[in-house]
Amino acid sequence: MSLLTGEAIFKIFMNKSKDLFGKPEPFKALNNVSISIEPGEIVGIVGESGSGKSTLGEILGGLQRPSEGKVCYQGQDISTLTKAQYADYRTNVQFIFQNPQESMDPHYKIKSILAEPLYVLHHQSYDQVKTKIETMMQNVGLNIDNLEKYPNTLSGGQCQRVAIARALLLNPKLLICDECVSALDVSVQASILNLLRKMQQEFKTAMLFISHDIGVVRYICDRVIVMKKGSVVEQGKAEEVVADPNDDYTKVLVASSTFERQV
Amino acid sequence: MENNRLVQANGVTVRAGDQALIYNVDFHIDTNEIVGIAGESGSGKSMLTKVILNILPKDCRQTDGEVVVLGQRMNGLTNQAKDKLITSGLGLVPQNTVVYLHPLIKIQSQMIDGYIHRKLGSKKEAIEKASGLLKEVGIDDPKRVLNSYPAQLSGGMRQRVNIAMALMSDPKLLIADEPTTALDCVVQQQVLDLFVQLNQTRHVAIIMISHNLDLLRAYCSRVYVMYAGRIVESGNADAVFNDPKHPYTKALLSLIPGLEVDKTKPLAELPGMVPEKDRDRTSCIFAPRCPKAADACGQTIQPVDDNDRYILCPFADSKPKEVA
Repeated sequence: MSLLTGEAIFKIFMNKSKDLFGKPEPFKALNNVSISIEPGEIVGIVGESGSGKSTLGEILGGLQRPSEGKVCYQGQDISTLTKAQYADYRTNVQFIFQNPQESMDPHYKIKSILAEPLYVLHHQSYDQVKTKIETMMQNVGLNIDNLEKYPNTLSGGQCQRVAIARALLLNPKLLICDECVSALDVSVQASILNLLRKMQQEFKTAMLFISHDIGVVRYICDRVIVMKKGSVVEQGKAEEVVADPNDDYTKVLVASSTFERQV
Repeated sequence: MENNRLVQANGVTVRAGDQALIYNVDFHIDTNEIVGIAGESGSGKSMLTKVILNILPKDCRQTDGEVVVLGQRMNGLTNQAKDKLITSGLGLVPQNTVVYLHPLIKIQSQMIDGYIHRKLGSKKEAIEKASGLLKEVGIDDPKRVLNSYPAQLSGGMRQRVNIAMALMSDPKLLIADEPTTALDCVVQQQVLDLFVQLNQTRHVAIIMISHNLDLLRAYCSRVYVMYAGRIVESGNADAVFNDPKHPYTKALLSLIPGLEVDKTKPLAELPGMVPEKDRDRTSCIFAPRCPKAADACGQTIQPVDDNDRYILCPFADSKPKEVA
């Protein structure tokens, strides 16, 4: 059974009308998108900005509701889940966002940031989970001294590691990474990508990897979905899509990720 | 000094308090050149352009070295004279298209303000010039754009407006600080092609700052690679990227997952962090992270500097790689 599926998802935003009394204009952010993620699989979504890839990630993660269509977690529609089942879904689908510093409370120490989800979802106190947090810090390559620091004293790469640790502490079945390496330097990007791969092999976490960088997606993903203006234009195995794109738009994307010598 | 040299910086050092931000940087650009500056965040790429443009943040000051802009030494000039020189000859294209434009002022006023302030012409001439430039940077309906607020334009359009605005004073040199980082790859290509086109038609020289080495390889004739406030390698773009000599350049090039990289293997990593302190040390700045660090790296480093190739590494030689 698929871990998470989205069936015929539409998302329509109502733009404000141009004049005062005019009708609001509908904007189709997602247009009949279907997607399924198997356990342990890394699925990539690529597309230019405004193609709806983040909206799709947020709908699958339950942060937004689809206008039409349904999201099923382990075969069950998430809008029909009971409270306990919903908590289970929330625990098992975790997010890593683009800007790690902005996704953390600046008034919290790193140890509180890491302990908070465990407290909220499993009612565990910090003392109970101290060893677990320390092991996870080592797993993601951070020094334990960092637990007593605040997010603004860490670098972008260190913060992203904290964000990954926070997500993985709940042993999620699916990790939704929304542009999670785009804001990082190439040297940090490489180590975060290696970390995500290592974690995927160790914990068998499935991932939905949203990025505009087709090189990164090709490297880390098993399967890739190409989106344009809210629709899926092509999907398939990552290497095959990149090596031999069928759709014209995919060809443009692949071509624009490499530069030809101009001068 | 040659006549076609636009900017020459010799041994420039910038400090905030006692801490060196960039140290002993030599840089030059000639007319009609596109020169790239590569490096990670915090390496001092933007700081170098701020020295040239005389817009250093308040707590930073240039303690050493001299900058010559358009044949004039900057050190002896008054602030007013510096401003006049820079505004007439240099243009800046910023990274962030959202913050740079004032959200509550129409594009037209933003574009013509500087022109009128510098008394280059009347308002009517300024508007004509602005709409001509917008056409030149690929905007089909300049009238609508001039009457819009920044929020009504897309990111690519805003960046084109920024480029047109930088061209208002007919500069000889454009400084583009990460001009396409905020844009997605399709628009990025269009904007970069626009830079090349401007370089060919208007003969404007361009300093292009980017962390994207592929981009610099494709668009620049010469590149500088910066690390921790130092220039560690510079030279012809083809030579530097096809045959990198400094371990840092080599590492940077190996870190990017290209379209041919082996998926089964982990990517190469560069452990450690960019040093913040002691950037003015005479020993190798990269040694703590360098895979090939040895005793010689702790001594004073004599850079290799010939044939337009500069390498700050004791183990480097400037000889080109022998083709087998």
